[in-house]
Amino acid sequence: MAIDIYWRIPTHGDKGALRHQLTRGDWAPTTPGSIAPGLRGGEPDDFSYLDHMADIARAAEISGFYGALIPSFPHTEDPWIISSALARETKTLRFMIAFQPGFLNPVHAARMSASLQRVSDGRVVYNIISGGGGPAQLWWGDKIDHDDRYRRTTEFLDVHKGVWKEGPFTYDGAFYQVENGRLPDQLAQQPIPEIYFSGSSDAAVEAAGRHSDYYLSWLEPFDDLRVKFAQVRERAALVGREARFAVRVDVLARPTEEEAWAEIRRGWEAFDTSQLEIIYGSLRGGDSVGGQRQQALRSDEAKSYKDLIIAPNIWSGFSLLRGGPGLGIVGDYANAAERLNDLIELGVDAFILAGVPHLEEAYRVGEEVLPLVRGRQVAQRQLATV
Amino acid sequence: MTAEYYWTLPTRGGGRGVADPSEKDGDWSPGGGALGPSIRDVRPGRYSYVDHLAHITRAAAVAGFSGVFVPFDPEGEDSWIVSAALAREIPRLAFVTEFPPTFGTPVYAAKMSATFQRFSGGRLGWKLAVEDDPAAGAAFGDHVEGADRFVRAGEFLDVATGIWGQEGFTFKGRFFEVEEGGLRHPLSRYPRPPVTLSGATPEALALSATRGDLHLWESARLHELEEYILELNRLASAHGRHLRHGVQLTVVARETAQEAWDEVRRLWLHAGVGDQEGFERLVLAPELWSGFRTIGQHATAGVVGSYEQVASYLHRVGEAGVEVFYLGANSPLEEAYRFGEHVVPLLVAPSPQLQAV
Repeated sequence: MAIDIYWRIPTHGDKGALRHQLTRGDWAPTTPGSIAPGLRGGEPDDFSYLDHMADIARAAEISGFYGALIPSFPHTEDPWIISSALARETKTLRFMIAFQPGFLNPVHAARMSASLQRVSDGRVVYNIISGGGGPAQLWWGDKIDHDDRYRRTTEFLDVHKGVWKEGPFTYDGAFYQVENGRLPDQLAQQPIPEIYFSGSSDAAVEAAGRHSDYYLSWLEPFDDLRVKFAQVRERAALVGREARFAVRVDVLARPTEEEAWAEIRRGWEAFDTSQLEIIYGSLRGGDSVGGQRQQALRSDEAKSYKDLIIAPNIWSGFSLLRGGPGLGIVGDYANAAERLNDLIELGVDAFILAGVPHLEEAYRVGEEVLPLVRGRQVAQRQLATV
Repeated sequence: MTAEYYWTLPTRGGGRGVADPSEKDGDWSPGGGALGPSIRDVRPGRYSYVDHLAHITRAAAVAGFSGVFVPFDPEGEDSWIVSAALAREIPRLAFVTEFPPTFGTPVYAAKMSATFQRFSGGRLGWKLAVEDDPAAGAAFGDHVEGADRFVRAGEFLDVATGIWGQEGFTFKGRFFEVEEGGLRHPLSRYPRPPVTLSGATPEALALSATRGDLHLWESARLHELEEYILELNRLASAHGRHLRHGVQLTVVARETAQEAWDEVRRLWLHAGVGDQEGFERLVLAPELWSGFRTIGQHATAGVVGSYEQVASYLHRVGEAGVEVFYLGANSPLEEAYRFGEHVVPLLVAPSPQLQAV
């Protein structure tokens, strides 16, 4: 099966380089040099941050990405609205909408999704997150225990699929009780989006086995990923499904390794190391197991960016230079492609790649790295015989 | 006082088939709108019903409407998706999006709205669909009934309003809870969308009096409207509030009253929902007919007549205290142009004849 490679659209601004402050969008004050909105005659111009996200979306589809993840956190734009707004000005890009089942009623979510399938000609994909817990969960107005969240996610997806494909659908769950729920025929004929499922706890892995098309993980040390994948494979087999895997990872690729590491070094030098405790502290608030797994990789004793190189071409300090996962790939174009090939050999079927700045790096990674990704040898043979 | 006009988007097909009101657009029509096998058809896969909705919306913009109303209709397209998809490509118009307060948490509604406001320059409006029959609610997993629906809608608005532009917002109600919530800058750069509500029950009026920005009436009888408006204004001022009033009307305007009524009669008889006698019973006033929902329109009451009569009636509705008109029509693309070309001029610059009314 072919590998699906997604890009990422940052939903809370972007910056010209890892070492810089935010200049794209209005998350930082709008000053000379700001983009979307910029200044025109001293006043913010008519562009909004969505105009910049539209540029990234176009860059991603032109340079060969299958789709783009649109993340959702409290202080970000909303992925449903972004996807709807951009659906009609893009052609092939799939919109991977990140959302938590606690945000939406499953029947309404099915309606929204089916309508968006109609608007976009079937380009909706889900990234289902069951929530990091802690303060952020209460921020959303969602009060529920960690393991219950995954049970609710399972019920949410039961109802969502049921009303879409088996309506009139009746369901009597602990969280949802629906009587004769259905979609109008025109909506019901649309395909249900593929599901990328996030979550690292046992409860998450259990729920993923039942409902996900792809089990999505941040990049972790390869051996850890191997263990995690084996665990998910086992759970999926119990419910008669074959598990597929996706990895979300930043790629910092340059013509030479030296240039790539120079970019990291400059980012590191611009970073205020007194912020380390604050950054790691913020990861401790919730009950996210994924967050804790990343935190276990911390190295706040690091004296140099080199101390955070944990394997060839793998640097674990990305979360210090921008929000999000810690581990990323650093190297020349061939190195970057080789690490992706390694991951494919390890069982990865799809990637969500990212790089700062997302507009320019979409072109770079699309033009320089993706053509070097071999894919699985078996898969290539299969393709050749088709 | 300048009135505002909104056009209703047909999210389950617009009934362009003038001869047959059951005919809908695109794949909402029985045959899917496909051409016969002997004709080369290059459209499949290239166009969808949303292209036609975009066309209607653009027509409303060029014909001078202030905005479009995108109804919540379980049998149609989703209102949020349609609004967001079209607001991006159609300038200036406001998008009043109807949804029930059960569609998600109020925090999430506010979050989606913040992004919508930011990219559209503050053009989103909310219309809450609060009332529903129990079976329709249960199909969405909603088992709250009666007056509680209004309590929940009130909490929904309190949370959505409370988190907008402030931090550390905590709320513990019967239906919703938030701790330390809040949409801060730049998400709150534009105001929370204005809230449109409707209904005539005491609970509906109380909700509007305390939280509504616009109350949308479904009646178009002038004396009734005047009474309703007085009553709601009294309730609102008891809370130190002021809100605007709107009406929801279908419009059939033609060069002559005869043509307009012939059109309505023909649609009625064709739909097979009643006979001539039944038709007459629905005539409430010389330019008012109240059976439009039975022939596929969103608003059951409608104004029927010549351009002058329609303009004159809308003018009188305005004098009763209505500032906002949510209008709709069969064949909404064509009718948006017609209204803009023939009725709006009479409303914007009233003729001596109109002023004499």
